Amino acid sequence: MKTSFYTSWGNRGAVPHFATIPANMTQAHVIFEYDSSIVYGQGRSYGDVCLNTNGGLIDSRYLDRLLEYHEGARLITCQSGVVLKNLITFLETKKMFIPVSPGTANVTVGGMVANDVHGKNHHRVGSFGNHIQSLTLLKGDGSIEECSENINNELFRATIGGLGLTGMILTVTLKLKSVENNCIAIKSFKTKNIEHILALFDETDDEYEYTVAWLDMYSSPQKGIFNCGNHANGDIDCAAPVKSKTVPVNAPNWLLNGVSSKLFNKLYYSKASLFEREVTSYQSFFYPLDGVEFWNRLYGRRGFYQYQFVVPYGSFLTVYMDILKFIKKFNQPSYLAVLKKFGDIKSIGMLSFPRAGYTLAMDFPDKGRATLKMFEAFDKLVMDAGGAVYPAKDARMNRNVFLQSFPAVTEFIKHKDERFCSDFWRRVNIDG
Amino acid sequence: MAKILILGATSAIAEQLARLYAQADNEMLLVARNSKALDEVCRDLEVRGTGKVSSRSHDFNAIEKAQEFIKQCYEILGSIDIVLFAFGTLPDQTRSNQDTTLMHKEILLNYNAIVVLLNELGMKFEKQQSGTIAVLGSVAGDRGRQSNYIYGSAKGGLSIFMQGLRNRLARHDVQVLTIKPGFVDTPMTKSFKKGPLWVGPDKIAQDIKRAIDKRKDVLYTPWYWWWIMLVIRSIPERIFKKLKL
Repeated sequence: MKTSFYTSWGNRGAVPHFATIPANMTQAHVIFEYDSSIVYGQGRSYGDVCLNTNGGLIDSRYLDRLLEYHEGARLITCQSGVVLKNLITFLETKKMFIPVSPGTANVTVGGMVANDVHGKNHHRVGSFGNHIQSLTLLKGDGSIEECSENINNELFRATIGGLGLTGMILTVTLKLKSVENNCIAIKSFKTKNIEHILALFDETDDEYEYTVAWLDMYSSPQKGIFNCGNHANGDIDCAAPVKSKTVPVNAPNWLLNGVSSKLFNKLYYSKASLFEREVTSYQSFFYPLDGVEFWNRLYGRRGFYQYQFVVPYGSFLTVYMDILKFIKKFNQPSYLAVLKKFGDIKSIGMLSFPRAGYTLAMDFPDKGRATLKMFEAFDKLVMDAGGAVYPAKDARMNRNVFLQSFPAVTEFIKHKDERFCSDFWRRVNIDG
Repeated sequence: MAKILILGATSAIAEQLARLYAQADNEMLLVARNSKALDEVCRDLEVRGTGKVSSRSHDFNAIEKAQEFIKQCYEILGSIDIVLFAFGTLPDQTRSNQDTTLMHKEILLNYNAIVVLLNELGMKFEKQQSGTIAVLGSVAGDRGRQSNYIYGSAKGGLSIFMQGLRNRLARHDVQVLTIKPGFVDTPMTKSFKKGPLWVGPDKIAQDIKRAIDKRKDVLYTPWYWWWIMLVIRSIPERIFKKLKL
């Protein structure tokens, strides 16, 4: 059997897999030819939760069918390989939207479940897992389990945020929300420093469903842009631009460097007034980076890391200031940084990342050992504050950081399927 | 509103095309051998909003049932505006070289099974004086190569059959469209190593829909295959026969 190469969004090299691409759910039943497998959707997780080097990989690209839609009950059932942007396009025609949207629409529904993704409205509605009516799971022994709040509850909670390790998610039934149109009424603020941003989160919580802040990590104190939005009212249309640009190949490593990313951040800040339109499309509000397909290739062959953590509200400012010190010490500024406030709605997954606190995501080019050293310093700060590091974005956290971030892993391992594994799982070495 | 018959509806390209035609006022009949796989495709189209989707499973190897089969399709749909042929296999050339029975089976499905149906449909479309007959061929049918000439010869023969049918039906206002895709990333080609010339079935489906709307005769898709095949066809045979293609 030939091997195929797959990579993740961090783009730090493709690795060989024995890949199966089932054309339908019947074919998915006979795919377990390898000791271990992992399902690969769109490869949008940043590290290795979607990879299984030299092992089995189930590519879900053809399992992209919508199976049932109930307008009255606001429910849709679809296969796990459905890509979010296609789902949204369909829902637009029904004046519906998904309850929680991550920062890119190029993810699969199965991937959103397995990583229990969150959006800019966590303070209102919790994470994606809070809106799943039920799902079906193909286990390694060939059996199919239906899971929901009431049926197989433990397996349900293990699968949501379960990093694809409890079996293959075949179908998902998702609760929808109705909207009047496809527009977001948006308001933007330029912010002077981090305290300003934190104050805006508190002030806008009640008035706005969606809030997010972008930070220029080159400036000191960090300037930023605070965006908040609500679904707009009335009979209006904000159809997204159809054409997007693509980065066809890896850029040279030098393209994104300290100078160009500094310039980008500066420009983004100074041009921000352009985004202060009254209403805007889903794409420009939720998925601004989707306008450039494969933007990860701009980092070149070396690839990049994202470090995303959450810490309780009270400790955030201290942790943040200490992180800035380490960034300065290691002289590796973040090229892109985004801050969100999680609310206190409890995630239902055993390994779910979202929890009350502030979550900061920072992109860094892979500069080898020095970058990893810096992350270890971050880890210590986050762990001391009782926080967590996000597996979907991670490519390097060690066993202890994982255990401390997700204490319910002891409960989770009872539901992990022995025929499923990933590079991530081997790395954090919970079985061993 | 159109009545659409899709033969080989579980093929990736056919499924994508069916999604493009999925609107409330179109009526579709989907036919494929595997009824379970077909059921998934139908459910999706129903959700996406096709007015009426019917399906039936049929083994296209059963060439002797062609006439009866087309009759049944007309009973279900009443009339047919667009028919797409998308069933077929990609034979393993090396195995077929060693196994004549296998080779014969592949030729029967990829040529005979199609042209008998085309002949039946030809008579119906000639009478109705309108409509579209679209057949998935391949750029592999433009020139015989050692790596793929069983498939290629079936597709090449099909292309000539279509030329004749087009010539015959042109004055009856029937569009006869030969579709020649290049490298398409589908379950049929999953064992191939993919390069920059490969595209997804959704892109091919968009091109096909546009070609049907514009009533084209022959479609190379994506467009650059017209140029590639122009070059390939123009290489003199005494040189071509020595190439490893």
